[in-house]
Amino acid sequence: MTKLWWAQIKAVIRMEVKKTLFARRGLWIYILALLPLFLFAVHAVIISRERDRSMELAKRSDKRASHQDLSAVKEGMTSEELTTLLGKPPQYFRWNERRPIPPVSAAIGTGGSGTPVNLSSAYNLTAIFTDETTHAGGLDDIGSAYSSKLLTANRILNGVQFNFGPPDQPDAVHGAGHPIGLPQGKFTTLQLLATGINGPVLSQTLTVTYADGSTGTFTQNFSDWCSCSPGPGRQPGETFAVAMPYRDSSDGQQDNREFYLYGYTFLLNANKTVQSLTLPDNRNVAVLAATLSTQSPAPQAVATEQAGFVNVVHESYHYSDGANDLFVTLADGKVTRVRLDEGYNLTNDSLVFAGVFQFFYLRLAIFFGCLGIFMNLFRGEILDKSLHFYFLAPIRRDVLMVGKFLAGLLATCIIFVTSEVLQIVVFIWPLSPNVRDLYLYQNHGLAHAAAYVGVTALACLGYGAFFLAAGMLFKNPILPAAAILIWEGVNPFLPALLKKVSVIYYLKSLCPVDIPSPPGTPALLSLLVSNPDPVSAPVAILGIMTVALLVLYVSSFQVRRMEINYTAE
Amino acid sequence: MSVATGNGVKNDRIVFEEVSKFYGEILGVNRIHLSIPPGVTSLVGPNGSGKTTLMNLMTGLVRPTRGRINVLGYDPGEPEKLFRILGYSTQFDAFPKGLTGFQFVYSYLLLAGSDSQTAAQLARRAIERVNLSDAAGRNVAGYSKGMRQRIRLAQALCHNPRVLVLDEPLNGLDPLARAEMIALFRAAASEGCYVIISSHILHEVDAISDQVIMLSNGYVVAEGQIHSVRNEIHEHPVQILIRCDRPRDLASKMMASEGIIEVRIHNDERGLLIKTKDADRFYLSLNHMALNGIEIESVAPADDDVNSVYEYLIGSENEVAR
Repeated sequence: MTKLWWAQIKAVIRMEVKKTLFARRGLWIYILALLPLFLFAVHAVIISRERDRSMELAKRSDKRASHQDLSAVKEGMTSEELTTLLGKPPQYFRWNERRPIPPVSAAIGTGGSGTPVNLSSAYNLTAIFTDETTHAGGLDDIGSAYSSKLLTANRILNGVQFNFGPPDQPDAVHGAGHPIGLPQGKFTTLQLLATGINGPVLSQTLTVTYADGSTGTFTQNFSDWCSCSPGPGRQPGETFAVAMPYRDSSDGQQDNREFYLYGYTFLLNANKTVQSLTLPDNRNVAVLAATLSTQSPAPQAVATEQAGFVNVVHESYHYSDGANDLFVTLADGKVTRVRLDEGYNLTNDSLVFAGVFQFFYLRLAIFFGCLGIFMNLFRGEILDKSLHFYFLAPIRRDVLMVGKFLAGLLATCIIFVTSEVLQIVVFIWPLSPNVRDLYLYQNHGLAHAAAYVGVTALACLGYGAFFLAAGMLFKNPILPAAAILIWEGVNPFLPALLKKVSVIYYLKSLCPVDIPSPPGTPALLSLLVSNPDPVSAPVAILGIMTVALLVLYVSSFQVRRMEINYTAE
Repeated sequence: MSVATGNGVKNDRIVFEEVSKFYGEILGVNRIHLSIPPGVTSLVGPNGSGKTTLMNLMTGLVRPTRGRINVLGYDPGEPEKLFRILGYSTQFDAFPKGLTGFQFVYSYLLLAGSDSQTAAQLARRAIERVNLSDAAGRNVAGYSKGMRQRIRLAQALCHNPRVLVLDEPLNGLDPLARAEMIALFRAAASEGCYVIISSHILHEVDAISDQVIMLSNGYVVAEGQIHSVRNEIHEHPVQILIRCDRPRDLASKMMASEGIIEVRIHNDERGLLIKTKDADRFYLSLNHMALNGIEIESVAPADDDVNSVYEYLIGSENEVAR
């Protein structure tokens, strides 16, 4: 009898495998299976090319650099120090930047004209900090601030005196809609030293209230304080007041870009007595100093001063030790930026491979591939109205089901195991022969490869059993597929007993590489990534086989009850 | 020889015992009692009368809601046993994809457990029997309707079953092929096979059948040999066609006989159509009349064919092809 059953199973497998592998509607399954292979192949080609280029670059270097040498390069080194360490760069390029010199006319000191406005009662920002101190707040609330070393307490701009508040405590004002009291008197101009934050701030309204109750309003754009922002200091009515080569960050470090404080002049009604100033109600406009003056406004001398330029020489050096690439940027002979590209990093790439395997290949490609193949073993034939061909043969229905299941398993294994083997081959292909041997035979590479192939086959077995059953029980495959997908997805959160009635629980335990959660990953998400209570390999293999057999056993009752009633489908 | 099984069911018959089948709330067949002997049995009835349901029940493709079915001692719920002795040519016109005619039959035999050599031999022989050898290597998807019908017949016949269940087997066949197939069915029946045929084409049923089962709205309205069925229909007078040299003379004598309801001269003036409620008495009186010098060429019942019986029992509202 067993011989007969086996002959019948072979006949079913023969028909089904051919039909499944060459079905036009199964084309998407091949795409799913081959997608990671394609990605790894592209990655391997890129890695190979980059390695060749790195080797070529290393050969051209006049000094053989090690990875340690490359790592020793730091910002602030001079070009001489760099070439002493690594030799002349085998690849470099140089360009000149004609940079405009910011016209800064504010001089340090006291004795300027005008009546400085005391803003201290309105200070609500700490805009100036002592260098190398850690601090919070700052102009932008994340600790960025002017340096007290650069922005000293008193400045004279165009002969007008400006006084700043003390560092490390509130010393600037952002508008909050409240009027700020002004010294009584009649003045021709109100001059502010201020800046925009978090990008240019446009069309802001300032209001001066006179003693007789009348007001004068001014609309002004404020440039961002950073040189990295578009067109700093170029807003109408805006001039550079103080240019500073850096600012302080919250951790006490210096941000070595150029930062500015801008000057603004507003004409007042000289016949009226001023009473108060209302700043724009905007957190991104900060005023550090204000002075009322009876002088006529200074001509826009600043604009002419802006015509000055300085020549900055930029260089970019490219070094390599044959595997890792170092990119160094210099400005005026000093290293300003260093980037070390690690070449083929087997540890990282193994993690990427494991991630692609666990989160794409296992949970999506194989899952949906098995859905497409196993669901169709019965459901597809019902839709094609051809299932009666099998049901009219002298074959036990459960033997037929086993034959179809094995056919599906063979087809999915041919597709997915082959793809997995090719992925592994492509993964290790760019390695040099020595590294490859080291990885395969001494760093468990071969064991990992075997584990990936085994997990793939077991996934086909487990998911196949579920989807075969679903194809017999449900007319619409979307519902059971969604239910199984959710069940597998929430597996980490299920009670211990329920966890075991799933496929992914066992598969995760068999995956050879654990993927660490990046720091800061929420606990719930970490649970999805990690496997807090893995089972041993024999238990996992037995578990998945038991689950599959259990599902098939239950399905065997259903297949015996199945009827041919195509019109009801 | 009739052998009884343990539960009293004879295993030389196809037996339906109080069988009902409902598709949800829709009636397929109801309270079917049948005992089908060897020979050609035709299932006759309009669309939706339950012919295919009866065949599907017999072959286990659907399970009865109530009752029991036994096919020569086999339970239709055990296909591994049933289909060793039964071949079913269904009306389903779909085939497994990508198979040639030969592969279709060959694969079926492999599924049955035959080795490849035996399967190939049997497949070739069955395809020859349905005269499809020339097209055996072509993909079934490219077959005409008649060819598909024949390859299904080949599949049903290929393992030499004792029971052949054929759902509308003559559909799509040309006249020559029909004649060949009818001869095939008759030959199988003469060898002791049980050939169950459903058909819409009543005059062919007449030619083929040893017995008929008439179905209407899921019920069996009559079963048995067609003449016996006809004789049981008392509310319709028997019609007899008499061919003779002097039909008018004979007609006048007939009118005087008792039990004659209607006498009509045949359109060709070469015979009479008699309606009587007492056929036996009529045949006796006819002998007397013949002795009186009227030369009678032939006497034949005019309405004990399936067509007439069908019309009497099921009515003309359920149209079938005649």
